[in-house]
Amino acid sequence: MLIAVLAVTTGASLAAALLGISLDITGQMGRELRAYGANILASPANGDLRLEIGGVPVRVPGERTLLDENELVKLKTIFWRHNIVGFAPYLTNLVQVNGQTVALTGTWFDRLLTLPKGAALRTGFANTQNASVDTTFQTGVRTIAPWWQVQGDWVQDDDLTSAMAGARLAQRMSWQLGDEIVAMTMGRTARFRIVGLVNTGGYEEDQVFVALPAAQGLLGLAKGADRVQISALVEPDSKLRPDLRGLDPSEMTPDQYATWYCSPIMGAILTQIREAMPGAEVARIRQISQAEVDFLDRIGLLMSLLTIIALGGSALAVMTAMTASVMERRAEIGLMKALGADERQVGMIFLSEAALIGLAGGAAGYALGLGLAKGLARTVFSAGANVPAVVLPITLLLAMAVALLGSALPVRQAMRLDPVRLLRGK
Amino acid sequence: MSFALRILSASLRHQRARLSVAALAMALGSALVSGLVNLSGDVGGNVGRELRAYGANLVIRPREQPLLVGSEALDLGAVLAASTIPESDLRSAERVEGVVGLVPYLYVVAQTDGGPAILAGLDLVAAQTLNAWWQVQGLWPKAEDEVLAGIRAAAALNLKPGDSLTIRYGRQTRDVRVVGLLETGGAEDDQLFADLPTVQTLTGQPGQVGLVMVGALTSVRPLEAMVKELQTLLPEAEVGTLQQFAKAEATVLDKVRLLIALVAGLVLIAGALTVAGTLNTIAIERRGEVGLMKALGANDRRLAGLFLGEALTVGAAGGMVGYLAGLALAVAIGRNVFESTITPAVWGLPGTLLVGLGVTLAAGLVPMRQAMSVDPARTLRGE
Repeated sequence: MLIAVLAVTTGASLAAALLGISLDITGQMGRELRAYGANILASPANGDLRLEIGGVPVRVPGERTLLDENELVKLKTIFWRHNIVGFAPYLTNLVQVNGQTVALTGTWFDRLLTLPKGAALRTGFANTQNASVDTTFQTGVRTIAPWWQVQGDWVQDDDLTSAMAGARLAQRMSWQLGDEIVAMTMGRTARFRIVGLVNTGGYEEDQVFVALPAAQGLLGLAKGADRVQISALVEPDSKLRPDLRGLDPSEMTPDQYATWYCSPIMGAILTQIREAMPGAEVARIRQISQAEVDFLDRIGLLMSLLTIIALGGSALAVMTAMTASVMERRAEIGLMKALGADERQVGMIFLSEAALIGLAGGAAGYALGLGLAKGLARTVFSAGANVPAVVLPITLLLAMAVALLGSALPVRQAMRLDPVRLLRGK
Repeated sequence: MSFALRILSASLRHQRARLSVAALAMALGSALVSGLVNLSGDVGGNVGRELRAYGANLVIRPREQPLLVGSEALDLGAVLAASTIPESDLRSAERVEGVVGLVPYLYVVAQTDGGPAILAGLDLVAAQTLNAWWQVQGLWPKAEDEVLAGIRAAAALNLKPGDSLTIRYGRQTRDVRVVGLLETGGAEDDQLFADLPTVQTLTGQPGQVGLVMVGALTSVRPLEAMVKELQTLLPEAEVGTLQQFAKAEATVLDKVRLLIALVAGLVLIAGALTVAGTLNTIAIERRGEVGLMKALGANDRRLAGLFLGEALTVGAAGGMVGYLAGLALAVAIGRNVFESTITPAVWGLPGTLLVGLGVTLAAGLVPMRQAMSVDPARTLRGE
């Protein structure tokens, strides 16, 4: 009987571990996929056509509609605020340095923002709650673009005299770390000391980066960004409630819309960002978001299939173990029958034993499986596992069902046989 | 020898029920091992191929990239990219092992009636494969005078599919027709796209390109090796890695491989334990039989031979069935999840049989040896 309990425990721990991991795999993998960078872009509505080659502007209009970076803190008040991993505003302009035209971009590198106490936080489709305390968070390029490699130092967001130069640009202009450059545009001048060189392999290497206020100052502006990149945790549309998939949100009933709005899918998150940034055109960056969502769907499917198969296989294996265990006790059954017990009574004894084995093994297995799931998540992912509470009842139910099924059939079979033969041990 | 075989076959025949349970347990265990080994062997390759949906991870630029100039005063019709890469040089690059997509571009700033716009000439066929996220409303350009318009460019220049527009570059003029709109959420939305020859003719640079985006499969070869090979083939150009994509891809691939390996390990251990438990139970049940056979005069060697024979038969039968079932499962999962065919792992069959045999021997024969060493009278009594 000990073997039976161990078998059930093993099967249950596998079930709990796999369920614990596969139920949140898209969330875990989704967080890892943020390493690819921003998946949402906000631009000024009715903005001018951008003339850029390889991410570097060829011409920048004198008067531009811009976004207000001070409004960005509102992104941390939307319903899915915990899915907003980070954001960074950019203001790019062409400046003259030593007679050469150079692209200069102001941004936030690692800015500390404060969401003030009393800010209205969206807690449900129709509910808001005021924030009870001030909360601070860091956001900027360092959060959303982890692939930036900087030789030297990063520019501090309150330092208006430092700059980071893209490695390719620095090489072309023969700039070294520590060099002073003078940037001129539209009659204004600013001095910057190059404190870092940026290596990314991409368009960043053709630009000079400064703190956002420094770039704004060169244009005589007190605020303004020509684009905002946002990095958001998004679940694939397959996570949407089945009856809502494929429906156009504008054609949904109020209840359907409320459910859609509160799902962590791209459409809903975009809608909420648009509500927080009324002057902006907000769209998904398809190169990042489409591949991400497709990939998450596949990984989710793979884990689900693996879990189902492993659960099926281990359920059968545990049932086999239970069967063997009952077969071992056929002499007992024969004895009980010879003593006058009927099928129902013998059945009750064995089935209640099986139920207990299932319960005990299931509980022990759940505890073990939970530990396994957390350990596995900590090893593979950057964050710990988020095992949903529903895994406990599912594990217990499965364990008991398997234990009962595995015992029921051999008991019935044994009852059919002549007790003398059972007692003889055949 | 024939006597031993007769005993073996009689034993197998008379214990059909018990041995079927043992064989079933073996089959299940083997199916798990086989399925997981075959699946995890190929996961890296499949996932690596999936991650190419993000597009290029390498870029080839001409070595002397001039500064881009542009201001209010400058005539934007002037030649922008003085250095280019000859298209012919790219033939050898396409054949590098691991390169799955190569899209050459030639960018110019062109003038239209609605104002200046970026016009990109590119290999549209190659772009359709490498840039999987490009969604075209309408048609892809097929003829020389057909263009795609990014949705913001279309809005700014007042263009719809079917409209014609005149493109001016320097002294050259070309009439083109918009056949489709492109929406990506990125820089492409602000640009116009035509086939490479169209733009090369416009700028008078036949056979030249300004930039090449390359997609390379890192699950096949390390990225550094491919960069090195490309650089050797293109000494006049600069082959660079797009860290945004290369780094994220490496991280994700590693994590997926580790995840599948750990899950496989978990399932294998659980499966092995359960199967071992089953076989152990069966073996314990047969101790009375062992005692009887010893009392009848069977020596230990004969008994060991008999049990080994049973174990091998059960193990081989259950193991083979299980291996095939597991392989079929892995193939089905591969087709469903990745739309690709899994190649059976080389050490799938030997691995499965080895594990199966190991479990059978460990679980089944230990109690047997115990039984054989004990006084038969005691085992017959049932102790």
